[in-house]
Amino acid sequence: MISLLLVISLTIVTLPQAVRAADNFSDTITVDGYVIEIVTNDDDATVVKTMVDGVQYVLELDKEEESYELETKEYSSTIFGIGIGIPEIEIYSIEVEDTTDDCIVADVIPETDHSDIVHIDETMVEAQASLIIGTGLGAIALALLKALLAVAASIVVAGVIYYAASSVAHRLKRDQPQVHYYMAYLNYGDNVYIGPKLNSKSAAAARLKSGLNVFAISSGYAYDACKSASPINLVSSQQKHSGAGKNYWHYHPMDTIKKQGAGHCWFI
Amino acid sequence: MTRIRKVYISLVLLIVLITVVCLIIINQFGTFNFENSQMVSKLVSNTHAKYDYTGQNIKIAVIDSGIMDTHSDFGENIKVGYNFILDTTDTFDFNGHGTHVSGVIAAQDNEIGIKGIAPKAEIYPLLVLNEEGKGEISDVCEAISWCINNKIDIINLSFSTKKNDSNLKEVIDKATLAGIVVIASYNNDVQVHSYPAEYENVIGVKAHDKDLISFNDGIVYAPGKRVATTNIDGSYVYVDGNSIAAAYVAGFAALVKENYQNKGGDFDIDALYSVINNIGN
Repeated sequence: MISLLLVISLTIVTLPQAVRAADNFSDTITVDGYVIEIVTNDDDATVVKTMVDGVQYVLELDKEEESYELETKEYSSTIFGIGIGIPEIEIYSIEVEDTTDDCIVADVIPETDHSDIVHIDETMVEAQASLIIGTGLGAIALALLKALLAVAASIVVAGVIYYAASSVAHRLKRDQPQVHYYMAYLNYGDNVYIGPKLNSKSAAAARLKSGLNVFAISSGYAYDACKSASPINLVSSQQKHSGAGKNYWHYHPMDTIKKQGAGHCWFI
Repeated sequence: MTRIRKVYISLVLLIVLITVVCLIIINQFGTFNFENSQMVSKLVSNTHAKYDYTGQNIKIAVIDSGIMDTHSDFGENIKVGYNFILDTTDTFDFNGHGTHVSGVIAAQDNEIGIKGIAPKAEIYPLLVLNEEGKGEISDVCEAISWCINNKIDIINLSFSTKKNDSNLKEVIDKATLAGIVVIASYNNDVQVHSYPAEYENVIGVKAHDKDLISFNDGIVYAPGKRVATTNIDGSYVYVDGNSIAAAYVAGFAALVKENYQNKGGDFDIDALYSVINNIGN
């Protein structure tokens, strides 16, 4: 008995730090019935994890690569939520297509067998029989994705990741002063999100011309892009809407009949 | 030795006897006795007793996962529908949800199993949900258009999506303009948006564990806890959820419409709300 306890104690001590992190008093959130731990959230990555039926699920967003990776570790047994023994590890890439309108559309693709893809589509209608917490990979991956998107303050539009302007706008000028324009997105009409950089004023103007949105690092750059986007070189007055998430000053390019175009060019 | 054998045989016989008695007891109590079931009591107290209608000549489209129409509790009231996933008229239910919903609405009054809320209503199974109980909004839109073209009276949508889809809203608006009453269940997860239940011209339904239909703060509440209904293996099953509550209201709507038709009145969503309010009071 004593030797058994000794073996268990040694096994716990030699476990990787990430597995034991559940013992720490770290932040957790509950999504779709799963308790999800926020492991990391910084400029480089956001990592969340959960443990379900002896399997540890870790989802990481690599912000540089703009990629999502899900790792599952299945332990033969657990004690107090800590995996014991040598785990079986599976790696999945997650291709997130869209998360707008509060609906996630994504594919969970196994590294080893691409024929076994789990498709997640929250835009579908779903029978409302008894509320059952899903236990399959798709349900757990979906819960982790929801947690990760919330923690990283991000959305995905047509496969492109955007971050809430409220969390990143203040450091755009500081981190990359040579970049003047970024793709932007207005989600649900109440939150401005900032996406990948645009390489030039003409790229920003082209986006504004087609009714899409842009974020600029100054009012001057925003004005210039809107002027280029207007067929009559006219720019709207400086304005901002009410609402915490869209409370940024912006211009619109004016169209041929001096009406404001749909595209916003927000700035800080 | 002989004595030990006698004791042994006695013990074996005793075990066999106990087993047989247990099997009889399990069989007796394990079988659904629907004459005394919760559902029948709800029917009597909540609808039939007050209105004495059966849904005769009322057309209800159950846009769902299809139906097991050979179930002994269904009959000629199950009409030919359409499978919008496979584009055929084969609407066999591989999920079970559509059969559950249809049983609540219109299981026949035939001394077998259960009795639906509107046992003589005509059920048109329109299949849009796959074997996992999920479906495309585009198929739902096509099914609702089918209802408009086929002069359906009531549409039951025992499903929900978080997506506020403009096409779905538009086709529901058209159905409402055509005089169809649209009933939809809220999502069982109270923290998310529920479309089409949240649309203004849709009767959005949530389940409660009371034996009545009520109306509160824009939401209709109906029985949806442990309701007995038809199952795809030909048996019966107890089910829960907002889906079942919506089906309950769809059946009830058929009774109210039949009542209005008999009296020559115009039946619409406001008329139904009015009746539900009166029940609540």
